[in-house]
Amino acid sequence: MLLLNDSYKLKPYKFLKMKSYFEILRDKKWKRKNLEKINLFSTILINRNFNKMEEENKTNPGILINESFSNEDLSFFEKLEKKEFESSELLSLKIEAEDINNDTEINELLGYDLISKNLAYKLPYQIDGALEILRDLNGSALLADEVGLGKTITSALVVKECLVRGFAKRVLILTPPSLVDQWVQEMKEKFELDFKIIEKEEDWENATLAIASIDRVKILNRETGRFRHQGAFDISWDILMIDEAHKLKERNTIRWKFVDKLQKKRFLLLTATPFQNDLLELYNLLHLLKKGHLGTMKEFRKNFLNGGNKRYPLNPIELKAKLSEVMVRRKRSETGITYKKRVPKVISVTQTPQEKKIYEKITELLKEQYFRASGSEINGRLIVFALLPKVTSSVKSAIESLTKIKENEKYHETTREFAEEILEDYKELKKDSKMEELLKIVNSHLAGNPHEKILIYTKHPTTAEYMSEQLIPLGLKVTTFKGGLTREEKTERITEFRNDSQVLICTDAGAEGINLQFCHVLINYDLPWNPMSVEQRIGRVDRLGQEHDMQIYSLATKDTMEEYVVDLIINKMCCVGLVIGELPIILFNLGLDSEGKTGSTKIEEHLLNTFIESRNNLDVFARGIDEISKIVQDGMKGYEESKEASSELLDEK
Amino acid sequence: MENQLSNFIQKFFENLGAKVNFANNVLEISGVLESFEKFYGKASPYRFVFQSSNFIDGTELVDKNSYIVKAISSYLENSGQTTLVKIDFKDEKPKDFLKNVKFANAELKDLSKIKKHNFFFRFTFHTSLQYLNEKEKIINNIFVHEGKVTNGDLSDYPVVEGNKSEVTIPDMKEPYFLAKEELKKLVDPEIQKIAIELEKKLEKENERINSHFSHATNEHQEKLDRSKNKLVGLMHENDSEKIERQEKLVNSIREKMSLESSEGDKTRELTIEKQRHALNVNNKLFNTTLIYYPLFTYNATIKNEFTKRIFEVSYDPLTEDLKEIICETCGLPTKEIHLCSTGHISCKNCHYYCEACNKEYCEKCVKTVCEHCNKSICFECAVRCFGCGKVMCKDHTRKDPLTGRIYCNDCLKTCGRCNNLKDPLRFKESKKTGTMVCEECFRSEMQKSVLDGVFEED
Repeated sequence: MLLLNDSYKLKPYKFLKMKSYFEILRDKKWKRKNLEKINLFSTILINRNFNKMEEENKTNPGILINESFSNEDLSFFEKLEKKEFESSELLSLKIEAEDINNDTEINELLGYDLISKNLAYKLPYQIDGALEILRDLNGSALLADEVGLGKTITSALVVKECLVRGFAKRVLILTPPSLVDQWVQEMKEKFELDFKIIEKEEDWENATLAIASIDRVKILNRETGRFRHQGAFDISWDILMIDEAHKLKERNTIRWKFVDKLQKKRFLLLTATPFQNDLLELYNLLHLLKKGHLGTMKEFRKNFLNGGNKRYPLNPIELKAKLSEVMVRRKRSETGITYKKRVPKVISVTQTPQEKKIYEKITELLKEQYFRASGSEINGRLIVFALLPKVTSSVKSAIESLTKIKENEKYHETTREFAEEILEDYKELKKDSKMEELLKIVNSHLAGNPHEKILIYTKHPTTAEYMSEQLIPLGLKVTTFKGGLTREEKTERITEFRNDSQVLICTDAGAEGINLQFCHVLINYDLPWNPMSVEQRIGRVDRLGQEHDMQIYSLATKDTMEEYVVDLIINKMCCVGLVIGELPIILFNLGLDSEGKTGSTKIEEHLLNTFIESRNNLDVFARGIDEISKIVQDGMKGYEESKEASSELLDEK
Repeated sequence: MENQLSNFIQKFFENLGAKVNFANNVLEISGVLESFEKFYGKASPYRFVFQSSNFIDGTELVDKNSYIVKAISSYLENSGQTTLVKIDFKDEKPKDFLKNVKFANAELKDLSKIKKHNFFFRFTFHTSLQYLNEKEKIINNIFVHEGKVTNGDLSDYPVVEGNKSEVTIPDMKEPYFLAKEELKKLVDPEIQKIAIELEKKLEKENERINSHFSHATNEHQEKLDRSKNKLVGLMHENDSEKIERQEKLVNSIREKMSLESSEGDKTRELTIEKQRHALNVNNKLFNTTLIYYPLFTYNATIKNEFTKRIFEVSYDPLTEDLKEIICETCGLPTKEIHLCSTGHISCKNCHYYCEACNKEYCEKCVKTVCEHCNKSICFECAVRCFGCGKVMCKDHTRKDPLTGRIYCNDCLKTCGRCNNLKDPLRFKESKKTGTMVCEECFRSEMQKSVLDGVFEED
């Protein structure tokens, strides 16, 4: 910029001729300051007020000072006029209360006592983590505790503290779609905070405590180049929190750009794996958190990337020092928490010839005899996704589904007749092998300890009813837990199970978010083909406070597709020694956790596609399952390697 | 801290009327108001200990972050907003505070007490200064007395709870606004102190951001320049495929440059840092105390040979000042009181004697100076000549017995017959002598002329 001498009166830029401009330049009165890449005429325009701006900048500090007077003061006038007075002693107490509560720095969590009754355990490392984030890192940090240490609780303590102390009013939490409801529930039940879920653009108006699925809100209008949820950018968030932040490891993603654009005073990134395969993932994450902290990309590569080794840095000490300025990370080994093992047992159920016949007829019905009234074939995927699992879940749910087909005129007459035929076969059925196996397992445990608690899972409410009908006549105390229960009813039933009942029968819908770590026997009567759902089930008992190794039974009908799937999910995914929370990371890395075209997760779609393509050929299906298994095994191996490598950087002192 | 806490909790519950007992290091509280129990979420009795070594079953260990302390603080939040306090000055003998007042020409005859109070306000403001993750609190007491902010410390005074039946509430809006202005001055040094610290931190962050964007821009620029140079080189080779590839590369670098090092992004980052390092100052009126105290006010009766006067004399025991006695002529305060013969109170400078009647008067009443002899004369002694209109003392005037009009000696005319000074407007020409005679003489002449020739000899 050029400094103007006061004696020069510049004309507005549009009138300025080039000749005059160069005359000015030649004049030695002009002082030249920083040359910036700006338009010629803009330069001159800026200069007109330059001296004035300099003067102003000297007297005004660079910081914002927001000063306000409470408008409640005027209510004092009314009280005075009405001669409403209180004693001076009360005033002294009030002043003393202020003195007692006068903490400038954050040395303790004031909000903790307010909600401690809602937390199952007081874990000092969670409190320490929250304090470190608030006090030492100004509320902005990468929270990279190992899997299973409760980053949700630690970060929620930060949020609660800021709200209680009055530092924050507007909080936004961005999470993967599957975790939105879980976050809302946790914040409400444990922290007494009502977060609103953002779904539509209008929801941003007046949003104070907001949770959104990052996948939902990051939608970009490619034509205009603008994000659909512009409302998010209009708010200056006091706290922005991103769960599963490892999904922001790529800088060129829309998701990354969306988060980058948000205004935030405090910023928390939650991930157990800040990088896995490449240090540049770490750079991208930290670049989002604090631009320039690790320099430019080029500087980072030059200073820290070690030739071909993408995982181990060139100057680890320097990089660790940089990380310690923005990151909080604790390992499980530091916390003193012990984790119990999952002991899987896949029970292969051998069908009777009668049952086998019925099963074959059902699969024939669904694959070859399933037509609409018009004669057109019903979509194979629909059958597989919606109908087959229900039909094969239990006798009762099979009968229910077949009855619906028989009675529904939308189906072709042939289809309905076929269904009726199978129903007739069911009437002749003398034995339910699956139920018998279940009873064996239940009795074997209760024989050893009548006070044992057994948790049985099924996908279908009808099957839950069926199991209840079979178990109660045996003199067992049974509680059922299905969807649609109120919070009070849920609490009642869990208390009943804890204090009285021996068996709790749950559906997947009904059992979200409940804690059953006093139980260590879990039976999957049927299994969802989504390993994440199975993880959810096991997660009810595999929690802090579990005192025994968990017995995980899964019933699978022998010589059916189900058998292979159960083996894959249980023996090769959910019960292979991973800590709870690690499987989702592995599936994410493999791209298998996100939603597929049909609305199910990609891994589920893989399995069901394999099922369809196998055309009832078990060998073909088994080979397909093996391929999926190999992919998952490779994923696990890669995860372990990256865990080791990142641990060298993140954990070693 | 433990002592402070236990005393605080004890006082609080005592104030609520609960039963409080502190024995064996356990503070037991029972009979608590239902409203507090509901607020706290727990029914009494409560048993608190303040050191972990004293903890036993059935007690609750309390520290400053305990829920009970927070509950009490919250409970108190809307309490104690307005208080009434009296400075209970004992009566002072009025003669003591009147000892410096001189009654120059009158005697203090009587002092009868009037009940009056004076008021002032104490505004207690709570200012919270929040920045980053810290919060400071300042409590300021500002006294406003008679339209001015004043230093206040009530600790040396006999302060008691006020009685609202004794007072009428004065207007508090003006004092409140004065106090607010004063508060800004008091809080400003702390704001500036924090602002300087914050500015240093902000500068550091701004440096990081500016440096980052500057380096990023330079890097991109270098890359762009290199690519452009290469493109120029390729132009000579005439390899269209390579040229196209290089052009794409140049464009992608340009795009990356605009995405990653745009001014807009830099401004946004700087703005975010500025918001992060903002200082939020919230001022709240914590309490308003109306302080009143008796003004020692008396009706004083002073008397001299000419008149008496009752006026109010007031002594402010707070400022230890006698309320100014104001000269009713010049409006200035005076400590030497002169009583005018008409009852006015004046100062020495405004006090006069009438040189005609020798009575004492204030300047208001000593209206004028005799235009004849230049004496200062009071309104009683001053007369205006009907003839010439001049004001003069009575000595130089005469009242015409017939007309009652007052004329100065100069304006009065000598009657040619009786040689008396008479109202010049009442002169007629004598028929006998042709001289101007007064009306009386003219009448008398006329009466006599009627008899003229009646009693003449033959």
